[in-house]
Amino acid sequence: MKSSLIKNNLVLLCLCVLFSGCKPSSNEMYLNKTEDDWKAYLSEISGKQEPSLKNTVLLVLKSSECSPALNELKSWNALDETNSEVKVKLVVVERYATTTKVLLEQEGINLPMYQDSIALVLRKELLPATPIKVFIDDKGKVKRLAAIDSRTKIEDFLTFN
Amino acid sequence: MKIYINSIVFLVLLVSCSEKETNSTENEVININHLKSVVLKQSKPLFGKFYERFKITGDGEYWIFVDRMRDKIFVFDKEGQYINTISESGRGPRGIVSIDGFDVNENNEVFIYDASQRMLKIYTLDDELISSNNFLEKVNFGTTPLEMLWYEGKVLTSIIENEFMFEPQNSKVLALIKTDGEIDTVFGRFDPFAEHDNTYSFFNNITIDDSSNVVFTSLSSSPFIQVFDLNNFSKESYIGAKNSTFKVPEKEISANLSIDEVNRRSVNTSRAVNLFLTDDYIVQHIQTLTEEWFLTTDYSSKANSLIFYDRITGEIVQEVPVEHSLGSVRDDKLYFIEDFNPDNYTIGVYEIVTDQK
Repeated sequence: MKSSLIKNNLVLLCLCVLFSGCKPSSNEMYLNKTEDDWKAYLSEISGKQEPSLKNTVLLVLKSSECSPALNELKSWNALDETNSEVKVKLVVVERYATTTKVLLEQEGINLPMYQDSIALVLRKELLPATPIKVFIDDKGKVKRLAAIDSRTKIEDFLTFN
Repeated sequence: MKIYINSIVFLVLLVSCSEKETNSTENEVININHLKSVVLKQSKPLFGKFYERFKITGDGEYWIFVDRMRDKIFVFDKEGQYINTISESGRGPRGIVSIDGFDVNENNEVFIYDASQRMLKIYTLDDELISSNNFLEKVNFGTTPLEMLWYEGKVLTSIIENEFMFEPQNSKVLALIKTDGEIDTVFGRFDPFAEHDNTYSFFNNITIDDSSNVVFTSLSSSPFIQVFDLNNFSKESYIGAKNSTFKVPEKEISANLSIDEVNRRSVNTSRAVNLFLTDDYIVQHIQTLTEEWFLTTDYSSKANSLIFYDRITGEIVQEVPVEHSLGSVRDDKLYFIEDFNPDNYTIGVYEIVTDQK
């Protein structure tokens, strides 16, 4: 798989090797975060009191992410329009509001969005890196983390044994 | 396995090899003086985030940017007025999916290389499509993003051969390609420093001296510059020197590391991000990747410096720390990006003033 990736998409590989790396980190410390941690964070970047985050998927990414992450974003956007059981929210780590606006306009995304202009999500160590999706379950526990990269079906991300 | 101490030994050897006798350039002091600042005016469509580099037409009248949010080219005049965009989004005849290389020539023809479609499309500055051809469809190499230049009606690009992806020092480094996609010549070898840079980097910056038909190329993870003759495609010289301000990662950075570990190992390391020519100097733009950069990917959070080389002797004249990122150089003027905010995107125009000590 890696071989075909190299041959077929050198540009993406370059960006991965130089600026992102390929293997996700151990997620244990991030799974110990709670709904309250995330609500405090979202309140801080939005200046508003946050409602419940139970049964919520948070998609956290930078404006400069590559196309696999952006493609998955579109799938979540479509899910959000048809599925009322799980809430989907987007956090864009980006300094400038117009950059965020253009990104969403270009990708056709209309999910509820928060702009994190100083990468507070990383400074608070809620996540190890971006792009990552977080599922907070109906008990307010961070149940699952995974990269946003189009490799897994979003239905699988929401399915638990 | 790369061993750090080997790098040190190699660097010491290189430094001692590069020492030169005293010359006249040692008496020069380079100052960079601000002339004016120009704010780009937003229009419709809004631009979101330009890459750090941009092109200037041969007459200096127009500035050409790539918006990485829209994968679209935006043209402004030198007063910052929006003129137009070039190409359409998508896979139609005029369509572009991703901009992976672009340049403008003296006739104001703009080529766009779209790696997603493997096509090269050429437009006028007024957005008329001139030609569209399959490009780099069946080749054994990949190209470096955005490192493509017009050269005598062809496209010169830096490359890495697929078989040497993880030993780039053995790869050829440049390719000259006709606009119909036919390969003209693949030539040169990677900077030998690639064996000692601890990064497996294969970004090579390029700039062309049309008057003497040479191309300068610098590997992003190396402080050195290779010079190739475009008449016979041979290596002409190897200039530069390892110095205390150019920092390579202390530990090897490979693709199997976690994202945060890659970032940790890359903090405070240097990257050669661009090469430019003025009448007197080769200008190498060096950036230091800060912790803030890895957190935010905010361009303004990287540290910048310029290394000026004497264009004739190839000797280093001076390293000048600068506040902003250098976006372009034209007619001996340096164009810095003073503000990346798309609502106040500001280009600062500066001149080089050389004084004697």
